[in-house]
Amino acid sequence: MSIHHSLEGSKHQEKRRLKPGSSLQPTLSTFLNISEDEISLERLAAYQSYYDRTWESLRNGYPPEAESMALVSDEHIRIIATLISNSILDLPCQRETLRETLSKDLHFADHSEESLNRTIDLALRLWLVLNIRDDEYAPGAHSIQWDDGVSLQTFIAQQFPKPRMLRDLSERMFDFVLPDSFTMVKLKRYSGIKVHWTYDLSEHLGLDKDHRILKVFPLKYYVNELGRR
Amino acid sequence: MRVADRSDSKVELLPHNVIDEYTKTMNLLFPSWDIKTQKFLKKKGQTFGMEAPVGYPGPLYLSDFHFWRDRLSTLYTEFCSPPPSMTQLFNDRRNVLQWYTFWFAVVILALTVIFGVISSITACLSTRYTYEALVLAREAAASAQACTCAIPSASPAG
Repeated sequence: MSIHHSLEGSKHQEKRRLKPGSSLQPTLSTFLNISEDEISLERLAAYQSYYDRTWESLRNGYPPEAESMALVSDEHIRIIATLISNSILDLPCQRETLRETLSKDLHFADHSEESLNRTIDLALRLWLVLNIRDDEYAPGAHSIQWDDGVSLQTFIAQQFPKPRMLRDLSERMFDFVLPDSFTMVKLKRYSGIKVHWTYDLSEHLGLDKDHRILKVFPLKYYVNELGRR
Repeated sequence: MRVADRSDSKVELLPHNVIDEYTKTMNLLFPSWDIKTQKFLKKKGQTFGMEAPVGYPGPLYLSDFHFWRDRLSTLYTEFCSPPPSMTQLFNDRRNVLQWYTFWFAVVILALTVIFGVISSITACLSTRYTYEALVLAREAAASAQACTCAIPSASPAG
C-alpha cells in the first residue's frame, strides 16, 4: 500500500506500502486484466520503478497535489481502474459519473470532490502511463488534464491526433523507406541527439531541437501487455 | 478486489494502433539485432532492448506510421541534416566520398595555413637578418673608411 498524506501515527504506518514488489501484483492484475500468476515482475521492473517513483514523489509533496487528496492506497487505485474498465464496456466514461459512483464507496467516504478528481488522475497516470494531472499541479511540465464533460475515451483519443503532414508530404517522402541505420545510437553519433526517458506515452519521440534532446518512452513491455487486455 | 472477467470484451482505452506504432518506433530506433544499441541501452540501464515484440518483417515506410508520423518525420529530417558540430561531422561517414573530400580539403587547408605561417615567419626572419647584415656591412665599410683616413701618408723626405 502507498500513501501520501500528512496524517501521522499508526494509521499512516499501517497504510504505507512496505513491500512494493509484493503489493504491485494485484494492481497490475487489475491494470492488465490478467491473473496474478501471469505477471512477470522481472520483466515489469521498469514499470515498477515508475510506479514507486510516482508514489514517492507524491509522498515528498512534488507536485503538491497530495495536499488536496485524502488518504490513498493501492486499493483505491484498483477500485478506480476496475470501475473504469467496467464502465467503458458500454458507455462513454464520464468523470462526473465516476465521481458519483466512487463517492458511494466506503473507501472514498472521506474524499472531497477535489480529492476524488486528483485520485482519479493518479490512477490514470499509473495505469495508462499518461501524465494526466491538473495544470495547477504541473508547473513547467507537459501534462494533460481530464475535465468533466469529455468522456475518457475521447480524451485519450485526443492525445494521439492524426498526422498534420499528410498533405504536405511529397509523394517521394511519403513512400520513403526508413533505413536500418536510423537508430538512436546513430542519431546520437551523427546528429548529437541525446535521449531523455519520459514516462508519458504522449510525449514519445518529442524532439527538443534547441537542446538536441529526444524523449523516448521506455515502458515497452508494460504498454504491450496493456495492449493485450 | 477481483477484476471483472472481460476476457471476451474489447476494452480499449489506449488504441491498439497507438501501441502497435509505438512498438514499431521502438524496434526501429532500438533494434534488437544491433550490438551497439544493446550496449547503449545497457549503459543507460534500460532493459527493453530485447523485449518482444522485437522485429517486424519487411521495411518500414514513413506512411506506415499514423500517430507518430509527424515526429518521426521531424526526427528523420534532423538525422539527414548536416551534423551540428565537428565531432559529429567527423563521425558521420554515411557518405564516404563526401567525408573523404571534406576532410581532405580540411587537411589541405590546415597544411596551407601551417606552411603559410612558417613561410611568413621565415620570410620575416630572413628580412631581419638581411637588414642586420646590411647594417653590419655598412658599419664595416664605415670602419674601413675611417681606418684608411687615420693612417698617415708616407713623407717623401723620409
